[in-house]
Amino acid sequence: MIQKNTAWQFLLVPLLVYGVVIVYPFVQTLYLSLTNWDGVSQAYDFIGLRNYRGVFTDPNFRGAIYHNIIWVMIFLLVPTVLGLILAVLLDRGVPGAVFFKSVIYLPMIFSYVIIGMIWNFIYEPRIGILNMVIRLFGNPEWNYAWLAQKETALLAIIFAASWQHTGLCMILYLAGLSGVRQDLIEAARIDGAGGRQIFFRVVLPQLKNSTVVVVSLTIINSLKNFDLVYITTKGGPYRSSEVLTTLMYRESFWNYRMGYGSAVASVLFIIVFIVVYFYFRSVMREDHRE
Amino acid sequence: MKQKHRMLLITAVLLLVTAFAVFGAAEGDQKADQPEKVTFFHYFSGTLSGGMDDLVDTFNENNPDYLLTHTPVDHEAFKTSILVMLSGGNPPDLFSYWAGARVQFIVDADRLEPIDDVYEEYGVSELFSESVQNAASYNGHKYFLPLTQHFVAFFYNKEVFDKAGIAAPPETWGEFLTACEKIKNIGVAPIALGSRERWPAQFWFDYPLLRTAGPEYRAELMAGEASYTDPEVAEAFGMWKELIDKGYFYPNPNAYDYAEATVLVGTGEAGMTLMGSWLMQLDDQIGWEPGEDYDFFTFPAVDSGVADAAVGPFDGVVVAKDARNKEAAKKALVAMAQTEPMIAFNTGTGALAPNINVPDSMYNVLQMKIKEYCAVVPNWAFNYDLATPPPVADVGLDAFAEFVDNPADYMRILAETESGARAAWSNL
Repeated sequence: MIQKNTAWQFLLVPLLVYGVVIVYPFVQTLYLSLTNWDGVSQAYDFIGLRNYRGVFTDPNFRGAIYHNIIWVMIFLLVPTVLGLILAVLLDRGVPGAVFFKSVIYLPMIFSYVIIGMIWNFIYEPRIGILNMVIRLFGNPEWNYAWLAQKETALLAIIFAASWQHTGLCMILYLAGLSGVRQDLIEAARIDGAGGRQIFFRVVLPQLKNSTVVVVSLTIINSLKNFDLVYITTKGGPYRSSEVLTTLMYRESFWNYRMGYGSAVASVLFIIVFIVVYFYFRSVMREDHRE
Repeated sequence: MKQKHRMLLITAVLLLVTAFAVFGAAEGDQKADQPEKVTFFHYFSGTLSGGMDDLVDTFNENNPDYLLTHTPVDHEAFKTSILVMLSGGNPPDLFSYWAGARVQFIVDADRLEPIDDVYEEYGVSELFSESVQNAASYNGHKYFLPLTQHFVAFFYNKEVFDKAGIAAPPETWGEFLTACEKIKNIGVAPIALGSRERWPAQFWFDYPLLRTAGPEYRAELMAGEASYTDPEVAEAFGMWKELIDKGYFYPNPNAYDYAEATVLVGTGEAGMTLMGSWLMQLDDQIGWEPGEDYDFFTFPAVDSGVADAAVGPFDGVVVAKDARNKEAAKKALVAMAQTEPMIAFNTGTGALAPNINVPDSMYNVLQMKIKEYCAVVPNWAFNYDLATPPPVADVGLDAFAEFVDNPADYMRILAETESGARAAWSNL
């Protein structure tokens, strides 16, 4: 009993901080999403679920969520798989492995603001590196504006984000690979299993915990990304790279619709929560079965 | 149990120490022998912050009872921070804001203190022209002290115009089209537009509409009393479309910002840009001299029956309704309105100082021409994003950026703009 109370006393301060910094703003956001507050006025009305009805009939919201879905899908396919492949290759001790690990991980230490500035320069139509390469080896008149054309703006940003995220996936998988049991691999090899079979049937199942972390972080990172989009396109041109976070910012702080922006934020939270909840639940069930 | 009590005691002591630290500091601020602190939060950062340092220093030297402190932040950080401060009931005493629809919005939200007394009792009204004072008035009261007045016009590279054989800047739409054709013929893009941040494109809607439908119709559209599907709006877009169709714009406007577009004009890769007089802040970067290397001309007349109108924004300062030190804040405003601080703040910015007593010697040759034009132009209009409420302007600014890429689709874009604007109006 004494131990239990002592634990609560130690937890008191962190819980207070957590309550003030995390729980209170979240509850406040939920409450604001039920109001028509403009973010400035002292008075506002409680309007029930009207903001949520607005959100689900708003073409801009549908556009933003569509862009987020594309982002999640590409993020789950490209940096995750690439990170795994790189981790497996580098784990085999290829020459210069430490150098390659450092280089691939390097973008992770940059903030998204720096990443945005770097890729703004790469995608610049006249003097950007990408177009210069295309002009050198292909069309000398090429001056495509990657971030300013609605067809490519979103994909160009996701590519830049993938460039950074691959390093994180690789490091997480490398950590996972260090815990893979070599005796099982040896046993499989003695039983006549090929390289592909060993990877998919022996190594990959042991990387399940790493995969849980990678997939969760990938989904969360792709849904919460704001900085990179804001630095590169601000959701433009004409909302073609708008995501939920930039929509939330635009409506709350620039269009004076804090209530509506809070509704967008709450929907984003619910989506992230559902994704993470179901993923963890399925994984924990499997653990239990084992 | 003893251990439990000790823990509780430690927690209680910690909380008490924190409380004393917080409230003690607040009390310490109230000491009578200290100068009263006046806070000023603004977006005059970067090249403009030097002028504001001078202005604040001058005020503090002349008013030892007060300590005016200012915090410059960039535009984007300012937008969010000021809303948080206002809504949290902890605003700065003074803050900068954009005259027009944005000041109107926070006036309607009851977050600003009227400053009629600043204008009337302290004689500030004698320092500003009537048109400037109109920009300071909202709902029948003065709320805004203008610090800068900028003007939007065509700024052009004189060498390019000479090479193209353009003897005099165009005064009519026909002459303008001829000039564009001549520039195109020497292999230079006639017009540079850098609409990556959307707002630079708005002037291409403001001026054609003002020159064809006139200031009154535009005021109706900005107030939601006219439709974006009206023939007047379609005609303005039609003029803009004609220029795009003829290949007069430098490619990919949405890829560049206004400074990059200005640099294109400076380097002679483009002939002109429709931009505000703040582009003069880039003089050193581009290395060109106003009047010698570049000049300006007003947007050409299209219909001689339509009254002339100029477009441009005013930036200035307001007093928060919840300001802790309103009297001192108002005194600071009175000080800012005087001639010397106005000179200190506006020199080198390209702006006109709203104070009528500033000497002409502070202006370069282009600013002098702008001043003379502004003195006679019968109508002054705020640019689009300051003339219509922010959520409506957001719809329109997207439409301009889309139009730049898809001019052929302009009727669809206008129909969508109208439905988006209607939805925005209904939420206001």
